[in-house]
Amino acid sequence: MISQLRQKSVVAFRGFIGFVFFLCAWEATSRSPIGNLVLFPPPSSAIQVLFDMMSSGELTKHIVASGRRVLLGFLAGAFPAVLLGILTGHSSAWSSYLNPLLHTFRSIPPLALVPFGVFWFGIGETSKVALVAWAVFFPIWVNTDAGIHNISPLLTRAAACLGARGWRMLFLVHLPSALPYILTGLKVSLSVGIATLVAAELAGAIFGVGYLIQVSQQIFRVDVMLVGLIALGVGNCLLIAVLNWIIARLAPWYGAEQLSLKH
Amino acid sequence: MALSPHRKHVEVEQIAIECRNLTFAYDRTESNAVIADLNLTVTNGEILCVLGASGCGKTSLLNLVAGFLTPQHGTVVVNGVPVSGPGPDRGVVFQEYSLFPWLTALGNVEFSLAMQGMSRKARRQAAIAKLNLVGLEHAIDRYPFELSGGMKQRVAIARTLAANPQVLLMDEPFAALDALTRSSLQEELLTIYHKTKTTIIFVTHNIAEAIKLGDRLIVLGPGGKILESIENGRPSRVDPAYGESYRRLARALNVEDAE
Repeated sequence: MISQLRQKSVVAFRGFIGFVFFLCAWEATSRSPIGNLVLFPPPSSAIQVLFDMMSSGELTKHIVASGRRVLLGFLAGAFPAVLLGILTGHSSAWSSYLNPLLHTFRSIPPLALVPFGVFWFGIGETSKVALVAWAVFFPIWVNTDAGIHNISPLLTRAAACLGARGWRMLFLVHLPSALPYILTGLKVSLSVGIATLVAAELAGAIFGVGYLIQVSQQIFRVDVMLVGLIALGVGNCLLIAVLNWIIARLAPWYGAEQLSLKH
Repeated sequence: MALSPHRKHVEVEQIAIECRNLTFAYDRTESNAVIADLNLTVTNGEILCVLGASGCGKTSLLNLVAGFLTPQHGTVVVNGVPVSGPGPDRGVVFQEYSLFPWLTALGNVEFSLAMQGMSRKARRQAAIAKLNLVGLEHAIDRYPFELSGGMKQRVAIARTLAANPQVLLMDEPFAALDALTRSSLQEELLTIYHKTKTTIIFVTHNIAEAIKLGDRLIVLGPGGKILESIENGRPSRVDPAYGESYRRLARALNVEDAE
């Protein structure tokens, strides 16, 4: 237990050192003769601007707008993705109807749909939420489908000879068995959703982190653009941390089997 | 050959499992049948140990009785009812660990009871009782990844017994375990058997294990042909290496120095 804690502390400290080294190198490069304080501002300036924008509430309104879009889009895409994944994973008939169509749609990069989103849904919230939903849908659907396909026949047999049939087999055995795949799909889709949202906000918005970056570019405020990037990175990390926390509460066994083999 | 007291007792009981002219091939071609025209009966309360070389059809036989496979010809009848698919009347303990990883030991046993329609309140007590039976009352809240191999198989046995099966089908359940754990689980299985008197088909590669557990031992050959059938005086307390049963089984299995 103590050695595990020590190991975790060492890993965290090394990560911290990596950050410090990167920031020092960035600061030194910006302030060196080859650097440019306007086009490539040092982290100290960006952090100063970050605090100013946070204290004025300017940054918060952009983060809230983007966060709301990500959350709504994520929920709107994840639910049908899981349902369709169960359907196509379970039924070969439905799979043969839907899989070619869905795989074709999946091969279209979500960013290519940003202009269509603006045409079809305008520059309001709907287009952004719809694009995020579209982007998160496919990783979750593919993973759910694969999860249902890869259910261990042994577990199915074990459940069948205990009397599990029909919906009980689906909800009490197949769905929990596919959960690691579904959770992986949720994690992957979150980053894809954020990337798509930024592109959608760059294309047209009046709030949001993507909008902030674009407007700042037009007025040559690279330091504010960097604040936008920092907000995106930290926001993404926080959302994944929240998702990991939820997963740890809902499925404490998730990943533990592999972890127990390592120790 | 003299029958054991146990065997004399079960002879008068009804037949629990009957395989009639059973034929099965994985590619549905009779010439490649893993089991060809097998006739076999297991009486109520009997422990039948099935031995044989790899590929002789031991597991296929078990899967046919469990209802996981459908025979090309013939039928399997369990307590008078033809088998048409898996069901809780035939509990199966697999060689591989088959616990649901998302459920604790208690949850795994409760799952079995829930499938039988037992209420949430009643099933907790019943599940704890089953885990007590296999000596795991201290580990009820542990997930499968927190259990050793032996403990996992104990939970699997408890889970299967919780469904109150008429027949227990065990496919090399202790094969992956170390010798000490295996021996201890064999003793536990016999203790449970004496309490429940459940009919058991036990597939194993281990001759000593078969002699220790089985009322009757059969050796399957190619095509599921019964090469040898021995009424066994279980429990065998003599060193199995010197027993007549051991010699006959070793001869049938064509091994000189079997386990």
